[in-house]
Amino acid sequence: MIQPVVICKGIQKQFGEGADAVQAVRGVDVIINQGEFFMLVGPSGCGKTTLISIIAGIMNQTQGECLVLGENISMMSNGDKVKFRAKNIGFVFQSFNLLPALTAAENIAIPLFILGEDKKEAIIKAHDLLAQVGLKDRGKSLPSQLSGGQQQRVAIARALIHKPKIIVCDEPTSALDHETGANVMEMMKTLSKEHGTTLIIVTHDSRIFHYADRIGEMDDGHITAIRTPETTFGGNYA
Amino acid sequence: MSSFTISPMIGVALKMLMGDTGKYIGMIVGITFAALIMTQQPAILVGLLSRTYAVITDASYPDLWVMDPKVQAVDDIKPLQDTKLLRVRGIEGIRYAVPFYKGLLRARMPDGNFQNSNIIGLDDATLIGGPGGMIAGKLEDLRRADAVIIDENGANKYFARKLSDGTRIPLKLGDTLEINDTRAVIVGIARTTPTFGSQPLFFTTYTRALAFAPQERLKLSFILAGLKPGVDPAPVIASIKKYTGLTAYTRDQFKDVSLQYTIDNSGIVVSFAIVVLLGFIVGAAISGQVFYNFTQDNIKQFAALKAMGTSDMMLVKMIMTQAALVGVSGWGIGVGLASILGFSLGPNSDFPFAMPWQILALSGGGVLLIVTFAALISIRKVIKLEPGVVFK
Repeated sequence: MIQPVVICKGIQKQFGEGADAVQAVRGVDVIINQGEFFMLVGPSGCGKTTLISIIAGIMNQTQGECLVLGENISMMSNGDKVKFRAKNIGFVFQSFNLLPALTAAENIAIPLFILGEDKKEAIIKAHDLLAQVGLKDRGKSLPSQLSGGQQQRVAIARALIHKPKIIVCDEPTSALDHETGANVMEMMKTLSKEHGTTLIIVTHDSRIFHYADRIGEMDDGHITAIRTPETTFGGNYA
Repeated sequence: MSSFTISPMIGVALKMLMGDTGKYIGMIVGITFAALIMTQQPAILVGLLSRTYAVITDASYPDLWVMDPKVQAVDDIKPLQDTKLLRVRGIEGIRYAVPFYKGLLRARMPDGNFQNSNIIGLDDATLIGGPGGMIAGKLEDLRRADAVIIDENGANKYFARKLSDGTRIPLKLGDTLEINDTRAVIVGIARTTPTFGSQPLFFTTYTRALAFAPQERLKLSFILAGLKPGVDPAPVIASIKKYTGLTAYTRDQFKDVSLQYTIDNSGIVVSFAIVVLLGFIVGAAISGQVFYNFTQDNIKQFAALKAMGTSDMMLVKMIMTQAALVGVSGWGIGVGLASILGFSLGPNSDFPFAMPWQILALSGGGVLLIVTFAALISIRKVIKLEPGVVFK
């Protein structure tokens, strides 16, 4: 039976007050299921990033309710929210956001460090994941010694290491060439299926739409349609 | 059994800090500069101030210094009647009391060069109050005719004979000079604490010192007194005041009185305090600015860590650890440099330097304030940081 992991009802988000107020999300209803590969697509400024920030628990909505793994995270205390994110959410950022002074293995181990796991064990797990993302021998490399694609693989391994239930990705392929982006997406899809992880990806990159199970099209703060890749933009996106 | 473990995130913080080599060194240089100034300047001040009571420090044996009640420091002399010596000897608890002359007289070399010098006249019989260490000759040689002992600084520097090629020939035993136009023969060279005014120091007997001194009605500068074994100085001091009208201090009390007089009347402490304050401000400005820039440059990394679930408390610990490492490193280097500079020149050189633990505490406290200030600015920035910026 399919279990929903994210249930958003009437989500609105406003930045600022009065005349300067900007309505970034204007009443979004969406359900994302366990193990699903869900993409949010749409033009710049349509509210995609704001919506995943709310789903990931790093921003509170102005109105509406968002249940993530059955928890209303906007009602949580800041401390509980931080713990919830540390345990349940993995992140892949557009610009990778690897710590430049740490080796690839150490970067991957950070979520386990945050959860208080022993450093030695965390590094061993990081090396295992490095092998899974095809960087077995690069554990001691600094980010500056890795290509963009390799850095993004490290970032994906970092998002997976603590076995989160949800991984939130922001434009994961925008800094990569087509071939590398395709490889990264293949790997993400494979690994998320292996780990049973739900993937929520914000992207502009139409070349990767076909990896999604469903695609939510956003415009002006609304989800205007939720379709399969075959029906999104008439299937002529690539 | 539970064991104390340090979070690996602390290691991450240190790697972040040391990974940015330029800023790491910049912060340490700022703290080193502040620690150097905050250590070296007070050490010079303490070294200078300790010279204000150099004569008291070097005078051997006496438990009490007895003087006119109007005397404010060891260099502020109001001579006593000779009869006061006998009256002090009669006080209950006093084992001995001897005269002590201290004056500033002109000493002249055979080549005509002259120098105002401190003359110390010691009791002829006991030589109590003489220097603790001799480099050449013996204290007892003062009993020879026209004998004087000169301090090392005077022999090597002020009265050294300068040859045409610039070479200096220090005074040696047997050399003669004139003190206030009276012949004096060098019979010894003593190791003494340099004085505040850095004048040469001559020791001689009390009788000969009076012969050197210009004619005055009263010449007895101080009375040095020893207590009988086990006697508490406080009641003896009270008795001296009651029965002779004189003031008496223990050695440490007289040091404090002399020191306080210099502090109150010279403005030297304020001058040094301003330098220390400037060192503190410049160090705080450099380190605070560089530390803030470091945080600003790593703001996306901090945002990513926040998004991934790093608590505010852990971020505070990480920043405090970074600040602590910078502080300890900079303080250690600064104190080390100050020590090398001070102690390499030697305790008896012209360079005044003394570093009691209070100075280390002062500079340590100053550095702690600087790094706390720097860390607080960065902590404020990181705590207020919205993790959502990581998506921008």
